[in-house]
Amino acid sequence: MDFALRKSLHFASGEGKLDITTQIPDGITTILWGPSGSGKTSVLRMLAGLLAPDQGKVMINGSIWLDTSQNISYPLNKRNIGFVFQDYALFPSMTVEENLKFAAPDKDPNLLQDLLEITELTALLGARTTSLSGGQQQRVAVARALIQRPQLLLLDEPFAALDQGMHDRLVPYIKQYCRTQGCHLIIVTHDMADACLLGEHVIHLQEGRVIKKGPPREVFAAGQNLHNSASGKVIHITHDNQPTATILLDSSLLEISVPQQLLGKLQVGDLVALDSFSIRPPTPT
Amino acid sequence: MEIAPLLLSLRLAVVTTFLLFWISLPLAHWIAFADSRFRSVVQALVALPLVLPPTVLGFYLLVAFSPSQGLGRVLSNMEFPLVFSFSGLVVASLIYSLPFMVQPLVSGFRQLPSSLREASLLMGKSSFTTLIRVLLPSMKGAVLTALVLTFASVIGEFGVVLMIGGNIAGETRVASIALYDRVEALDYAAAHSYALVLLLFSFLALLFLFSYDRKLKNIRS
Repeated sequence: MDFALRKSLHFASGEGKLDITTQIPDGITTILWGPSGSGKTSVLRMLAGLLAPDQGKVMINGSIWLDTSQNISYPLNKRNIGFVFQDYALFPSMTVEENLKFAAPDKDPNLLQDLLEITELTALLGARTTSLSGGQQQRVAVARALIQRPQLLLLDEPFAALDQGMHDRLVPYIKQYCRTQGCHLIIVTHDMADACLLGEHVIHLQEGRVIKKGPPREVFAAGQNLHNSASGKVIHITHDNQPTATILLDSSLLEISVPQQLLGKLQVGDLVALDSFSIRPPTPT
Repeated sequence: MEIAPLLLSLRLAVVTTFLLFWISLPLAHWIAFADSRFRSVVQALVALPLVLPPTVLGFYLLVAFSPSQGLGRVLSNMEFPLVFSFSGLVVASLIYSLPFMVQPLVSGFRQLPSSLREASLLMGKSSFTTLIRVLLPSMKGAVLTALVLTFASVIGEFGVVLMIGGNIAGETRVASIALYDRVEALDYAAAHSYALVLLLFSFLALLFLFSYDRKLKNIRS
């Protein structure tokens, strides 16, 4: 998937130009990361055809969806896109089941069963979406986007309302789903931990400009002047042969080997001093 | 008091409200979402009956539908005269009541999050399916407001109806005209009855509307 998009937008500092060009290899999860108002959602909306760029070109799986130079704009209701909106966009007059059925009238029963299990929505099928909590609504929105079997899945802050357990189950499922279905996955987040852990390709946006892009270990490489006396927050722990913790420190992520004395004690959310930890750049999960 | 003018008013209100809903739906949808330079012009034309004296509208319709004029002559030749006929009243009511139907629908569309419409389109649904299956059921309050206001406005119409329909018993003499007719004849007892029925009907229509609105708000909260 290739795209190049340019558009004048209002940023916090005033009028500015969003300018992003990138190529995304198949099977790669891309993260658009940056502070609020940096243009991330606008990029998703332009890819989906909900917002017209001043200039732009979008190519996916060999088809041109948009080319402003040739006046090509493929109708958005023919693009087969799964989109999870920040406000979830669940249809308030429908139940959870009706929302899913509306998205995919000839839905695959096996996929539906899988989705209901992973999102724990089976008991809520008959509930009105307006009666659900934020986390439940977010799960319905994700399930509704996936059941469409889209060729492009655009997720705008999709995990903000999920508890850690659901987050840890749903994220690998979505990534596996996209790999097996051949679906391109782009996730917008302002959360650095998510940006590092969810994707293989991170685009750091600020006021519409691409500051850095590449694998998380490059985009979030720690500065050279890091002091061992600094402390950071544990955002992820792996429990394999060599247990490691990913630490968020200012605008960098570090991966540390968990020392013997902290094994079994260190938890996500803990603040730790970096003294005497062996530090290495993070690897994407 | 005769019952026929009241029944005729009801019939006119039912026919007008039904037709106007389907005419106004695409129009309100277009006004709410279209990015067109003509939108302001269309909005002004739709709202015109709100500020125009009904007699002005009635006069122009009378001229347009007159059998001696272009459009009126064509309709007359097709044996579909609109002056001093029930059909004429319906056409006049459609024009007069247009803003009462369109404005609440436009407000309803605009109050919905744009993501609802966008999500449906991205699921491959057409604009029509999106309108009928997603948008309309999500704005029941606005739809009900539009229907009740239109119905009540048709029942209460006077100026346009008198100009285009006159006062023909069983054909164009609706309740508001019958009231006027009874006052002219100094039959105040009958006039009081018509006035009371119209007053009660209007009050009950608004009471129903506000009660439903309160119920919807309670459900939402």
